[in-house]
Amino acid sequence: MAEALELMDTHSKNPIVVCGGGLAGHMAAVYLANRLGDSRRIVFLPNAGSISSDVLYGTVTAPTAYDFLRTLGLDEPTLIQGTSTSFSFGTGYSGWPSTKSDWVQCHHLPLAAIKGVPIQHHLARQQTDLQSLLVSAVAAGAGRFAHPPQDPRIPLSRAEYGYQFDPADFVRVLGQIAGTLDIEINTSAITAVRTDSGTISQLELDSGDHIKGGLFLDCTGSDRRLLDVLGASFAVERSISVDVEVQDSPTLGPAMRTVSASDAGWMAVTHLQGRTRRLSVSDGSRGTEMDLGQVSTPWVGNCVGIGQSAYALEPLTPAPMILLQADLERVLELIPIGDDMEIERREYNRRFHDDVSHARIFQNALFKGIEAPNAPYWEEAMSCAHSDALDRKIAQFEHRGLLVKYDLEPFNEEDWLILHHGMGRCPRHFDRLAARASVDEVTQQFSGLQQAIQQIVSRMPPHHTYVANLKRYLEKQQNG
Amino acid sequence: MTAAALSNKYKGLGVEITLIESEQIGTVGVGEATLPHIRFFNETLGIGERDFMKETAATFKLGIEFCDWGRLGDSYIHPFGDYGLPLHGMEFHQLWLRLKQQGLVSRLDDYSYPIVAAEAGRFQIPSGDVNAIGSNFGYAYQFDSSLYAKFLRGYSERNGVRRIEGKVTQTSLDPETGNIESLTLERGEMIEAELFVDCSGFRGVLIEQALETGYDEWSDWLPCNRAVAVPCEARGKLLPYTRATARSAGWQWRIPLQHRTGNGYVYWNEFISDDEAAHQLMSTLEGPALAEPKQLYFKTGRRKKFWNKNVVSIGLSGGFLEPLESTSIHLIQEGITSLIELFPVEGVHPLDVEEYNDRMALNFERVRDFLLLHYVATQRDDSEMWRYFRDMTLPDSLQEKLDAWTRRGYVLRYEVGVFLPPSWVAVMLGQNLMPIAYDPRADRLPLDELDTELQGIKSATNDAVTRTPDQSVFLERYGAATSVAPLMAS
Repeated sequence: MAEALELMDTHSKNPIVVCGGGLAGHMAAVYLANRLGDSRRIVFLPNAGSISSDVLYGTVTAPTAYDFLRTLGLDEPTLIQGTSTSFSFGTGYSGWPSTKSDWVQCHHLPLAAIKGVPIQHHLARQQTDLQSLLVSAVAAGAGRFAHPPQDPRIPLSRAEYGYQFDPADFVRVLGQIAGTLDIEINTSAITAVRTDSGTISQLELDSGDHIKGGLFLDCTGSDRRLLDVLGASFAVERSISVDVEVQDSPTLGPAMRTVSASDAGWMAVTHLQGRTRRLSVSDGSRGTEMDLGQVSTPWVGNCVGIGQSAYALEPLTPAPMILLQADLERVLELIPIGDDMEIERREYNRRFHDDVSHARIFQNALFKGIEAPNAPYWEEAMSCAHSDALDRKIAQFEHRGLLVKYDLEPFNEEDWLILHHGMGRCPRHFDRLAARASVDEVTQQFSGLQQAIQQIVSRMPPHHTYVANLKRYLEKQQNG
Repeated sequence: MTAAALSNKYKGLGVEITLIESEQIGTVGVGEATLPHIRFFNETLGIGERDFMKETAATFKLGIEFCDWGRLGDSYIHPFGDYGLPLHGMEFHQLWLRLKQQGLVSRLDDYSYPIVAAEAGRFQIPSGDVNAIGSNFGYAYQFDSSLYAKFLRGYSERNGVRRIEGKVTQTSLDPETGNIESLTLERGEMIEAELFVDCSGFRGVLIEQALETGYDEWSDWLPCNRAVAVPCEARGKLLPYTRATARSAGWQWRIPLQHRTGNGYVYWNEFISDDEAAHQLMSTLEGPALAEPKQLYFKTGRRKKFWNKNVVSIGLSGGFLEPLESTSIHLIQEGITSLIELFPVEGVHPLDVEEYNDRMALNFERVRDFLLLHYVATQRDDSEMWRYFRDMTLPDSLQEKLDAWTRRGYVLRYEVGVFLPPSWVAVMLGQNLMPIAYDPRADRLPLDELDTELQGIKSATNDAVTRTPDQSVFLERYGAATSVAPLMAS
């Protein structure tokens, strides 16, 4: 036991070195400093790599980011008052291949079962569309927003929300927060990464300094400054071109990012305060070419790849932000306690593979089985959308409305249900227990819910009005 | 259980259910202890707790006490619930480990309400105040499984199940599909059905004898292959927990019911004879035996397909894992739940079969690892059996869990499966597997502050237990005391 204390004590003197000044680097430095307190030294090198791949984090978060962002100091008042962040009930998909209508991939709490039978069986039996039963989808489509109340009798209480954001805003505010914390910030650039027996022995900086550390976090995005040196191979699955345009926008748009498909690929429009951000993904005719894929092992030696240095997914869903959060939570839980990191490394890499593959199957479900334009982007995306885990999910849903669940998935059953419906996937059979409720009874229940949703949505203010009022309210509160 | 659950679900929906059972074939009578999930099963069926407890002579169960597992003379309780209270966003055991390494805490059990209450023989229903000590635990039951079967039989019949007394003597297969078409009973009656559920126990009358499905044997990992069981008169305080005592060639259970105590010895016949096992069991009973000891033979493992053709095997016909953690009835429940979710819509569909088999296989494998943990997280090497486990190569899934735990008290998590991290913590710490270090986040808090907080929890736990009545008093007050007479001692 004394040996253990000595081990932990010795190791804790070696700093955690965070390399890279993009979103991943800033989040990592602030998150670890906040959560580890003075039990570990944090050295932050914000100029250790480029931040060009930050664009692949996308511009939306899932509801699960709320608490995580708060632990970083990015609470809601800070975001709404201090950045261009706005609210997001989800992402609206428009003109997606093989779908008959547009849908909002909204954030929503589980819909109540009827007579103990999950809602999807009643939907299949009644041939009813799901979207009109989802308050967050209806409100987003109508351009309205309000915070979901606690009272479960109000249909809006079932809505959940994330944020529409600009990664550069987050970086700016986190940079300010980092300055107030016990973080050793070194603005020098890395000139060389020295290794010894598969681990990083030190970083050499252009200031002439040398940095030694216990653990190094590679947050240098697609540069992979440290992982490359350690020989972690990044398997490229396919390449895309990404182009971003930002336009001033005096009136805030809806609480929903929109994704529109075209022959060349797709374009996402994010509605921020004061501006609109358009991100186009295509096969390469326009924009910056970027590789999608992942490293085989994100934790090599004493170095962990965080965020885009470890994986690169299209920013088509909140998956990239969900994965970044998962990376940081995972590394925090497994902060090494000694120089021998074999156990931590093995567990981190196992969880990483589970998380990334689960996130990928959700995104791939948008491409699976579709009849897409005869164009390179779609052909490549579809050719990469194969996995047994995804096939099982789709086959079981189409067979009998069953939502197959794997361990600790980042997207929950509601996300999958909404996605399957959005993609026009209908169960061929439904649970015979659905007959416990008569068709009339269920029709009435659905129609009652639809009316209640319409009523509440009609009373909700437009997103821009809500945000303006919220800012006035917060200002008043702060001024006493 | 299957007939009752199906009859509850499909009553009035045109599903005809026939239950074939024979009074001549007794139930195995192990698996009288349960996990908290059984409460959900009963609730779904609309079975009132008091009625059920009176009818089955049930007692409350707060956990399982393991004696002599880590070392001879050791004991600990695996409780149904978390330790301590959530503090500072950390797992409680990590904070405890930090203080333990400073020599500042007593055993982890002292911070668990269900353990302290169980040791004192006390029980009450969990408090509704989620922040209070005495709220964050679950409970299960210990009951007379033959009385429970009778109780559920009555329930099933009232729900329209046709019960036929008789033994299956012949099965007829469809030559094209290989499905079972019909069963013929001893008296010549023929029963046809679209779906058959095989609850015939170890014999697997339909799944194995008729369909020859095959069996994956796990004897290399869990080699105990026999048991001898006997009830005896109850003695002493009515305890709200099951006891499992490690022996030189297996382990012995003690399950206290209201009207008697169930006992059994699970053993590996390589290292002890049947006679010697029976003798050891009989010589350690707390009261006079109430029946002749019953001998059981089994092979640990599972059917290669739980669902094959149009036969679903539930219970011992699907697989057997020794009842060390009271999982027998739970695995029945898992089988029933999955069957209801995947109940054939228009005939048996391969996708339903595949899904069912995948789910049940995962459930069995995860329980297997947890059971094996008890045998390998030990310092015992005082007999051939214990030396066998000491030298065993473990499944990777279990080895990784042990490595992460011993290094830093980290528990590998999963979502699908019955045993959550607190259960793993209970067994690993209970069997003296002390991590060499702890999560560094526990170092964030000043030591004296943490010490005060944990002392507060320990003292609040003791206070809450002091206010908790004895189980026998609670049963009476609650209206769950049984009138079932004890068996007569022979």
